[in-house]
Amino acid sequence: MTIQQSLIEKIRLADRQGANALLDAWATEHGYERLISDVLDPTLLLIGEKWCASGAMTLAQVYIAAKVTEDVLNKIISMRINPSESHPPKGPVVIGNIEEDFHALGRRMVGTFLRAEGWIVHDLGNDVPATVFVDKALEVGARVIGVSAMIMTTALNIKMVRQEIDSRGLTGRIQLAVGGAVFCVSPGLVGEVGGDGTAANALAVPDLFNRLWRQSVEKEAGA
Amino acid sequence: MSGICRPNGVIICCSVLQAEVKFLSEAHWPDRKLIFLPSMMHMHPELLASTLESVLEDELKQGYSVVLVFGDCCAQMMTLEALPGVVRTRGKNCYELLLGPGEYRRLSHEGVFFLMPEWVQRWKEIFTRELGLNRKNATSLMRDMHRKLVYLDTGLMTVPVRELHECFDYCGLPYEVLRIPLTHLSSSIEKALFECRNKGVQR
Repeated sequence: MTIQQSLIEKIRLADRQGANALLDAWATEHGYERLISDVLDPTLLLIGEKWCASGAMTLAQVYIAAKVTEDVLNKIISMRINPSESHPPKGPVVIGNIEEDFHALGRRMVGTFLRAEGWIVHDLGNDVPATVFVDKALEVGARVIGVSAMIMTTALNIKMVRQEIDSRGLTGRIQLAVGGAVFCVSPGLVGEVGGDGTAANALAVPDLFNRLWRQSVEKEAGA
Repeated sequence: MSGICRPNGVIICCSVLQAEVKFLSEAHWPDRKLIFLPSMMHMHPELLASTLESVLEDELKQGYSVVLVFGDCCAQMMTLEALPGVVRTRGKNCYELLLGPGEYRRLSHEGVFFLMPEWVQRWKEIFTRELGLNRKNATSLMRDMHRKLVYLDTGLMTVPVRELHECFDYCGLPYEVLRIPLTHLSSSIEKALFECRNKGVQR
């Protein structure tokens, strides 16, 4: 069994401690510098594919995948290893739950998976008004804003972020990523709220942000 | 009730509010037919949507107007409430229906995880079987996401102290019991009934 398969098995069992022990043992032999690129990244990719294909993962399994990632990041930081050895820093980006939405779990996982890929993430938390998203993006120089909503009522509030971006003349320069459970089951909702893109799950968000960041750069270059 | 007396419109409600809506209905809308759908369907929103659609279809076919006492509990809810003769109570979820938008928002900002009387009876089944959370993971997740647990005591059931303690112990968070009136829920249903009278044909 490969290290990736063993790690998936630990996550399937929602065994955070076992997963960490496995990763520590691997890192002792191969080094923590390679842990993200050689083990975590490919494992998360496999889990993401499995999640997309079957949708059968429990909340606990997804949560443990995020916590194990967080544990690895914290260890790397505490050991003063430069995470950019495996991933050059990207971003910054801004994420948060839209106004009136308090479902933080998905957003927190997105933040973790983005950081694991080297993104500098400004997480604004729950119940964030549209103006705050755009103000923060301008303040830190973010090209991507990621807005999360769990239910239809709050997802529709994301339209206000779209309006805020457009009314300030930032269309294309700031890309709007949208996500949350309701987007997975509502075809057309991304367009309805004015999103520039979405991802099937938290693990697929780093790829989405890569694409949107590129779009923003191209838009600016072409302008 | 005699066979001649027809129900004056229908209230379809989540069973998480069964005791509260029954109580209010007896006091204010005794001629309404009540239908309750199992709250466990929230763990499977697609099932909730298809069941709700089917029940709605049956009632609408008979010419009754329908008030849905639900939050925005599945992605199809807005489509269902847009049907002629159907109105849903205003509120994103059952907590907001009970607390009103201002108090719900305030407590949510404090990091509250809400517990409903009916839900508490099945907390273990939901945490362990539906969400796959053992004690260690439940504690970690709940502490990551929340600051405290608040049991919404509507005064219609004896506070289930033993179950609450078990749940609180499992989640590893402090808790409090908040006694709340039914005024927000009552007013929300009343408004929906009024809207319903203006929206669709009612027998």
